[in-house]
Amino acid sequence: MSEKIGVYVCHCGTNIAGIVNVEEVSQWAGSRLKDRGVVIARDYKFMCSSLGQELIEKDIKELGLTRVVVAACSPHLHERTFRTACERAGLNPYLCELVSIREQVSWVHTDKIAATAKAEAVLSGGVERVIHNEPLEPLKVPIHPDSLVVGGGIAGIQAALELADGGNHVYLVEREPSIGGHMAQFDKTFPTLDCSACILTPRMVQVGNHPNITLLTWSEVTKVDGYVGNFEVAIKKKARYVNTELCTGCGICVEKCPKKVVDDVFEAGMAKRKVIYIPFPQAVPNFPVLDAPNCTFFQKGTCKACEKFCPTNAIDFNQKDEDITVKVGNIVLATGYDLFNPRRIPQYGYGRLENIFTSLEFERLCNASGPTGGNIVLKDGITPPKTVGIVHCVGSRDQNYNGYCSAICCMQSIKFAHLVHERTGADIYNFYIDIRTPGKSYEEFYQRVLDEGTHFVRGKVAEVTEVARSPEEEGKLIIQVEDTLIGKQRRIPVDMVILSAGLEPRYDAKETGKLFGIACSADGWYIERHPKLDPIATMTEGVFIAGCVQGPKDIPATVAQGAAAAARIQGKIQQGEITLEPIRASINEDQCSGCRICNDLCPFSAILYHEDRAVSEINAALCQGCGTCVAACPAGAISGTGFSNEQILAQIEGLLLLNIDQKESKKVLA
Amino acid sequence: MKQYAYYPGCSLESLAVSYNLANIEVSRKLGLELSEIEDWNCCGATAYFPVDEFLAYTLVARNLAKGEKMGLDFVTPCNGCYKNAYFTNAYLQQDPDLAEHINSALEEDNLHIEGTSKVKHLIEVFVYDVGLEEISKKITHPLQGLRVAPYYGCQLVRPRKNGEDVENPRYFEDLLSTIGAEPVEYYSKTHCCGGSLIVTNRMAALDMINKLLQDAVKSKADVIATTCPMCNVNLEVYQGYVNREFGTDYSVPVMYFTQIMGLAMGIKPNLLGIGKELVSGATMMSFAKVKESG
Amino acid sequence: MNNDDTFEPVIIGFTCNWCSYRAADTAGTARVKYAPNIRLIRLMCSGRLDPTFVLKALANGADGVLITGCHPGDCHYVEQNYKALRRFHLLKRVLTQMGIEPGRLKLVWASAAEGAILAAEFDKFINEVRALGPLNLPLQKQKTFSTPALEEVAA
Repeated sequence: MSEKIGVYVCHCGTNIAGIVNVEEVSQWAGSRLKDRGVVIARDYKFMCSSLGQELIEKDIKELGLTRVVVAACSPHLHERTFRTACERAGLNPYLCELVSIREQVSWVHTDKIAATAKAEAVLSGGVERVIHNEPLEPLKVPIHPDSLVVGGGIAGIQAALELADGGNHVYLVEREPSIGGHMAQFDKTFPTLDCSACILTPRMVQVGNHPNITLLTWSEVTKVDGYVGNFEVAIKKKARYVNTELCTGCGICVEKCPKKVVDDVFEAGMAKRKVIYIPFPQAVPNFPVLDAPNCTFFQKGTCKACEKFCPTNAIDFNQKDEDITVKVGNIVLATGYDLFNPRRIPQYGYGRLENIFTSLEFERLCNASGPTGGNIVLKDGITPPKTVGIVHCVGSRDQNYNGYCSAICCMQSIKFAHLVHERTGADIYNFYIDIRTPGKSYEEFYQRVLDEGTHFVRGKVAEVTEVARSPEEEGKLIIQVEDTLIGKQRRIPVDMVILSAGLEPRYDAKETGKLFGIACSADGWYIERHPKLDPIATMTEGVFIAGCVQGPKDIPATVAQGAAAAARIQGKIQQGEITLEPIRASINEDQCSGCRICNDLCPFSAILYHEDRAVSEINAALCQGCGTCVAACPAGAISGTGFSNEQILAQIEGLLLLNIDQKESKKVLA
Repeated sequence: MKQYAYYPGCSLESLAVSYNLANIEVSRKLGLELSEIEDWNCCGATAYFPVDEFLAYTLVARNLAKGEKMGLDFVTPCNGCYKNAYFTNAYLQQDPDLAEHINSALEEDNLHIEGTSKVKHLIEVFVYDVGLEEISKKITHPLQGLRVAPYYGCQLVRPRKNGEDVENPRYFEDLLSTIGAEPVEYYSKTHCCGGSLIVTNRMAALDMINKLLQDAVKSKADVIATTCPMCNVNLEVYQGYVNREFGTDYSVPVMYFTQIMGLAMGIKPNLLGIGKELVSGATMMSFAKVKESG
Repeated sequence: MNNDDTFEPVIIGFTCNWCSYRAADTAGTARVKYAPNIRLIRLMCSGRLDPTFVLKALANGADGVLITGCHPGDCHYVEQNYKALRRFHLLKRVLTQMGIEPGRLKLVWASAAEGAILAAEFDKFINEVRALGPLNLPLQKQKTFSTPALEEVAA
């Protein structure tokens, strides 16, 4: 019954050996834990090296080891290394445990004797645990070659195109009537001052024409079932009230529609649109959408002008929402950001005073297809401003609102300064905390705008007010700010204020995340698998994130992430199947009483209940291995492979040194 | 009669005696009894906290403990006292270490503080506890047309508590409307009056007071109503200094809000301490006089 | 007990693989120092924490148990830390009824980056348990050692 356990204690140079007496630990294990099954105990300078690993492999082969325990660094670093070594020698990798005596002992304690004693206890815990380890096989699941991209902004467009160009079929789902996202609203992009639409629309057209992309705009995902490689996604295609088979995109319906409403999506509230509308001239697909809640026909039963004038009879007031289900192997979430609402900072007067614009509103002002034809003018629609104030960090880097930096506002503000200078010759003031221009050619762009004569005032704007205190201030907006470089309060009268509002997660990001089984951090951005080394994967296999959903970033970084997600997915599709870690729970049917306490505990809906047999069952592929159900089952019918009750209880006993002489059990400090 | 543990604060014994009188008169008319806390001490105002925070908290806590002992809500008519009391009370509840330290000091005086009593400013008591409807019933001499600038002062609303609106609170305006006055749009209603800077850095304070007076004049206020003796003194007593320094010509009456309320309730001006001001309130009083005779 | 008369508590700490275990690692990488009285066990999630683990630890020599996990809202498995929280509160009441001081069980949230914070929490808890003194449950003397089935643990 007794296992043959090999124990290996790593010096890690002096990282461990400098504090923990590794030879003593190894000898201790060899003698005191001999009764527990330890047949060999070694210490070595660098266990993770090939020589170190060979020690393990040799012992497995020659001594017929059935279990291996390595006491070294954190399992997050080298668990895989040692498990692979065991596998090479013919031992199931899950019969190997790595316990940390570096990050959790030698690096955090100074008392050598206490550290050595603790290392022994930790090792003992590992030994007791490993006895109960069972050989496990990773699960292999097939990968469906289709993919789903949610969000038709530049991130989603990039991901979709890369996947489609690689020969794979993609569903691109977008909530608005057209793809393009926020980038379609901008006028020029920094630092090149490319026209945003000019660089974006060719991609949009490509998406619209691509044989491998099924474009579903004016649609939303309603449910996601399944697991990596095998997702079943329910999508609601909202009714456009336009038959896209017949519609030619001629636009007569839009022309003839008698009713206008404020366009608070694309035009950011700066202009009106018709009730039946195409969001912007370059929309893809170029089919109009009828805004039913505002439509005269739906409200009162009259009008129907669009239907009357449509030359191809494409208007269909009876159209209903359509629900479809698609099967995909992987999902990319690229749903973008919302802008911080500056109304939350009443001192800035947004919404109360005239001629104060948010960044998106100003983009529409600058845009040639915007409400003023690209003329930068005041609310009267005619007068250009003579002085403009641009406020950085509105709602960002602020403990009262969002503590993080929104990454793009400095460059955006500098870009605005340039555009105002170019088109109006106005006097421009930028109010900043720091100037953040890290990207390629960003700093040079800043220098250029400095040379143009824009004034940069280092100070956080305290207030934007209309209350004048001197004749020059009458009729103006006055920006009150402390100019920290000269140490004086300044009141600067301007005609127009642009607030560079920060980026925030979408208002429904949390709900959307729940739909796809991913979580948000405290700031509301989706949590990536690793912030440095894996920013586009999430903890949920098969679901990727790209673009601002992961955090504020500029267009180059967004595009890179979209492409990265696509590349990762293509790699998986190529392999045809994916291997999942076998840390899962399973229910022993005989012990299950059908109480269903576990059913509601699973956030991944991995537990099904069989009415006929009155027992619950866990879908191993859906199960993510958290173990909550294992702990909850009153009958103890659920076991968690890799973290079973037996393993953990044994580890507790080992840690408390119950497996050896009782007198030793409290030995902690000198 | 609803009772409150009343903490007048040092100023109400001397420079702001009229405020104290007005408070008591108006409260009585509204069916409230302000039971003055026995042997209360100074709250430390703005001066003490930067000197020694812990001692300053203890100073305030002594008053709070005495109020707690009375089993009544703690009410004060001064913004500074209010801010000190409110936040000392709140911090005691949040920080058990602080509470323990303070209580070990209070023990010397046979006192103990739990932090359970509510701390309110007198204006809050009127607006929220009594309610505007009840107040309107007691108005016998509505001050039609009297343009009042509601000067909240900064410490009444800062630091922000319970998500209150610190940029544009409206309850003072509502109260003034209820008593028949016309509250004006007073831009700097929550801006600082300079506080004790009037002593330590007079120029800075005079500059701030100048702005407050300027805005009151701009909005054509007949009188500035205050909720704090410090604000009142700065705005009224130093108006002359402002005029000398900036070459202005201000003559804006400054009254405590309870004095104005009292007039609307038909209480005789001398009972409200009116007549002791430095800036003549004669023009403003014409409203009350008209009603008195009418 | 060590050879002197000063008592040094033994604490068992449960950590979750994604947040608090990584926080402990972060503390290590940053070389933040804390007292050696605490020994950690890695679970995949704080939701895995079976109350019997806590009882087992206390019954067999531990003077205190610290449960750690991801901050509410940050759980890798979406919301399992809330379930751990519920169990913790109930368990604390049960322990009190069993005559064990509630101060011997504590719950602390820590995200992967909060190494220094977690280390400070370790030290704080160790001091708190040291002040309580040794637990000395009678069961401790019993050699319950064997491969434990669940029935034996609560005995």
